[in-house]
Amino acid sequence: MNEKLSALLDDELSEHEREALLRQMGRDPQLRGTWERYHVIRGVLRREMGTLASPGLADRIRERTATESPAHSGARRPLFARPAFRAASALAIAASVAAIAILTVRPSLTPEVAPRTTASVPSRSPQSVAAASARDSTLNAMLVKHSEFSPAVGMNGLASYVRVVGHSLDRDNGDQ
Amino acid sequence: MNPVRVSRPSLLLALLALSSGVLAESTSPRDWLRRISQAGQTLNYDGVFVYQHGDQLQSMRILRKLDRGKVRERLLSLNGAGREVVRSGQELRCYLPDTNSVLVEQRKSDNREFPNILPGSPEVLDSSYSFELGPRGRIANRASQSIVIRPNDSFRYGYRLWADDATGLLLMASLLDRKGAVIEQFMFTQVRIGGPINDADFEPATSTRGLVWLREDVLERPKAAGAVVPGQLPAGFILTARFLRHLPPATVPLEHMVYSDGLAVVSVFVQRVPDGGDPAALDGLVSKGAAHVFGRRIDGHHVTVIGEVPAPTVRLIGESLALARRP
Repeated sequence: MNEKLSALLDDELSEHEREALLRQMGRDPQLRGTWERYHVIRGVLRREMGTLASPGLADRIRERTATESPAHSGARRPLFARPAFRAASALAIAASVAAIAILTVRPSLTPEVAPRTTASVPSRSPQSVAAASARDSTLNAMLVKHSEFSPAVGMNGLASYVRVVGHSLDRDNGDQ
Repeated sequence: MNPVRVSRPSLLLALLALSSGVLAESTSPRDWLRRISQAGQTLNYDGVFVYQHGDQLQSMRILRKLDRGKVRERLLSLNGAGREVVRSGQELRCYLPDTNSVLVEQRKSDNREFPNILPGSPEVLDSSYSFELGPRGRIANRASQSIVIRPNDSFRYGYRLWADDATGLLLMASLLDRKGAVIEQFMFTQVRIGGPINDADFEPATSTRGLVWLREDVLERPKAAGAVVPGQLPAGFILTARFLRHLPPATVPLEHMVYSDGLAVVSVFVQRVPDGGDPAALDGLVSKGAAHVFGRRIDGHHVTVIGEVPAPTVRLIGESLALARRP
């Protein structure tokens, strides 16, 4: 299954295979979790999160993955050099990377009463981070559905989705 | 034969100038709102606007055209992660490159108007808001008229709108709190109204490589009455729509109820949750842009109330929600 996910990540699946896998992913939360971690790993390795993750994190991961043996694939190339991660050993570090990435990439919503504070990494457990992330994506999806009916500042049609499109800045200010 | 030869474009311009002059002087705020609503549905346009909320400023491009009766629209952020929304007919795709996903939705409503003045019951809107014409001005280099909408109580926000003289298209709009301070606003900086727009301009710029596609399955309309209903609604709000929907990637359908006073809209989402609850569910009040969101648990259900209304309004609706009494 991990091979299939990798292939999906690399856009190497046929239309039919892709649809089947996505449907399966829709039903299987564990599979979705794995898929998300793949993205985080890839993003970190490609330095896409360079401004968001702590400085040097990508390098540390690259060093670490380079020295780890590619146990399951049998390939000789270092892991980070491949188009996508296919080794199960990579998932071990993924959990911690995902936690940081979710915190920094997706800060949870601003509570109405509390002052806006930056999320502190050590004080939150991975569970609460995952819960905040799930909550945020659920609310985002609800906001999309709500936007169909709610004209943003009186704008018609697609412009009501301005909050959905613009909301990425609520999440991070790293790439303005 | 004609003693005076008038070229078509100049005749058209003269007529437009005449009609806009007449409109500007004799049209009531209500007539302007109707024009705005109609213009938003019938015109083709391609423009860039700025959207401001709090200390955040975004620049976006919006395109819209009617193509053989089918609406095509595209909204893309010119900042940040480059999120975009593309609509073709009833299908809507939200490209969210920063979360590696594409949300695909089938629109449940069509021809949504703003303002959503219910024909035959203008008194509903009149009891909640008062309307007046504001000063005239210039937005995106176009002569425009402002319309001020004030709420009659503290359950909703007010608006200041600027409409294009010539076409009625909304060029600028501000959402205002009770003190008249701006909560959020948008303004076209340039816009081309009418004329052809290339099909290619409606193609998303986002590469879909590696993105997860989250499709909403089409669901039946709910037949039975809702499991959870509000006990109290702020004056003027009525139920305007009710659907069963899927919230990808969750598999359990949820009920979506839409309440509106004709201008402001509040959504109520009701989802059955297993015993022990969902740790990810929202409990309490948060804000998301200009929207307030209130979540709570009610006997095996989780409810979420979302609306671009003051916090007490979503809280009032959320706290009044209760299990429906079965006959």
